Amino acid sequence: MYYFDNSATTLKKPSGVAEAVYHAIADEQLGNPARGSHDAALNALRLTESVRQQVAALFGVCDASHVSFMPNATTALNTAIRSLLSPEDHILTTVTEHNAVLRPLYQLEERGAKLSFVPVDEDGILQYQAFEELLRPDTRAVVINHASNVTGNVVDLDWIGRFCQKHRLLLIVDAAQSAGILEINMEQQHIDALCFTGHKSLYGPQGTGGLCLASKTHQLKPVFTGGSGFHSFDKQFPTDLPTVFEPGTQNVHGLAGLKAGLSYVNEHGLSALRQKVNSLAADFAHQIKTIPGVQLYGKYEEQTTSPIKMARVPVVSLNLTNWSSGDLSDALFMDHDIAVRPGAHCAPLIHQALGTEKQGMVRFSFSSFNTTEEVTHAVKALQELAKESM
Amino acid sequence: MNRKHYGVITFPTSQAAAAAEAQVKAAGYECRLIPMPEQISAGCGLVLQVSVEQTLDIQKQLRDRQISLEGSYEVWFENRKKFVQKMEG
Repeated sequence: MYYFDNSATTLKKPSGVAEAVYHAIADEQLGNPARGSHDAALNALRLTESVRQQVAALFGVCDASHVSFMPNATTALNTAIRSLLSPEDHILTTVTEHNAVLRPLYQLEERGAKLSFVPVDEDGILQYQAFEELLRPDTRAVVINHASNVTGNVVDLDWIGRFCQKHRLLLIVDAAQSAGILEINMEQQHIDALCFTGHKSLYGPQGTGGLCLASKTHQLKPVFTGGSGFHSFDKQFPTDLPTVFEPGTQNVHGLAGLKAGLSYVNEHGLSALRQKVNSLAADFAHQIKTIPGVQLYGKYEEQTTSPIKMARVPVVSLNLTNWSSGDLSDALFMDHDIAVRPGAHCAPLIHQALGTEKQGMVRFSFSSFNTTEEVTHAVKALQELAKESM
Repeated sequence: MNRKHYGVITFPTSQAAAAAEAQVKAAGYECRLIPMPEQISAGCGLVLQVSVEQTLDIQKQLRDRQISLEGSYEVWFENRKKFVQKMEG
């Protein structure tokens, strides 16, 4: 199979990831962290803490205790939104968001919160001037993705961070598509909450991810409660980080795999990995853009005159003539053994903005394990399908 | 480590306890994570067991390194009975 669905999850992982998960179970050395002082419990605790340190270093988190592990970015976003925001707040977000941001915000809206959406242009680029225009006295936060899972456009987080700092707004960032590809530094970029997943470009197993919080003190409300391993007779769940967001047993076996994935990222370096995946994606986009009937979405040319920094993650979304994205993706798979993602990609507003609600888009997304030969195969497949559709 | 007379340092979270253990070991002290003495807090939790003579020094070093901790206690046994006393530092 030619796998180009890496924005959904990276299928191919560094070999150390599977080995780490296997050994985490097979070696019978990892118990339940913080649930005892025997070797197995402490081994699990120490492993968890070592991964916490790795994550903190990768994202410029002030202190490893500000990294709470969760099953995925969706849980982290729900947690950040529910814990840090309230129904009295006005919140700025964008039409490029995934439902992992939108639906928790809509739930908050039902309880009284007010939402405003920053629009995009025809290439899916945010209209940055709208942040100032939509600002209100009761605006409390910006909730935004770092990179669109649909267009591959990257948000200028430095600009957003400065805007939030200037207006004393919380900045909650969905880094599902950027963690492991783009440099992120919470302190330097004034990010208050960073939500990441482990199973995409960090190459860890599914079921890993987390929420990183900045150094400034927040009023943290636990969202889920339960066992914490500490203060068992208290009726209230602890509000200390990271425990406040880590009720119950941690996914230690998954974290063992994430540790190996993070080691792969560190070993190769973000810059080298980014250069490889973006080169593959750019090469693919360059070759297919001249195929008759192919429509690409997203911004590919540099805006040299704009103060807004442009970048991309390795996502190439397209349509071919008037094929539905579902039919085209099925043809790619059945006729050419190519795995891609069709449809709306859980990001409804960007499709409304770009006029693709009905057709959806076919998304090719790349990892560092894709090859130029695979790109060539995908280009040929699209050329053949384009001929068929004429 | 004298298991009949030692010091313990308590923490708000197991993450802080683990971080402290790593720091204290790296500094060359003998230490071990053990269950929370019931005289300090009923229920579960981990504390860092250290030499009683070194307890306050270690506590200070952990505070200097921004490790979140709650306090230090002296623990000793007499006639199989455990005694715990808060250490001020």
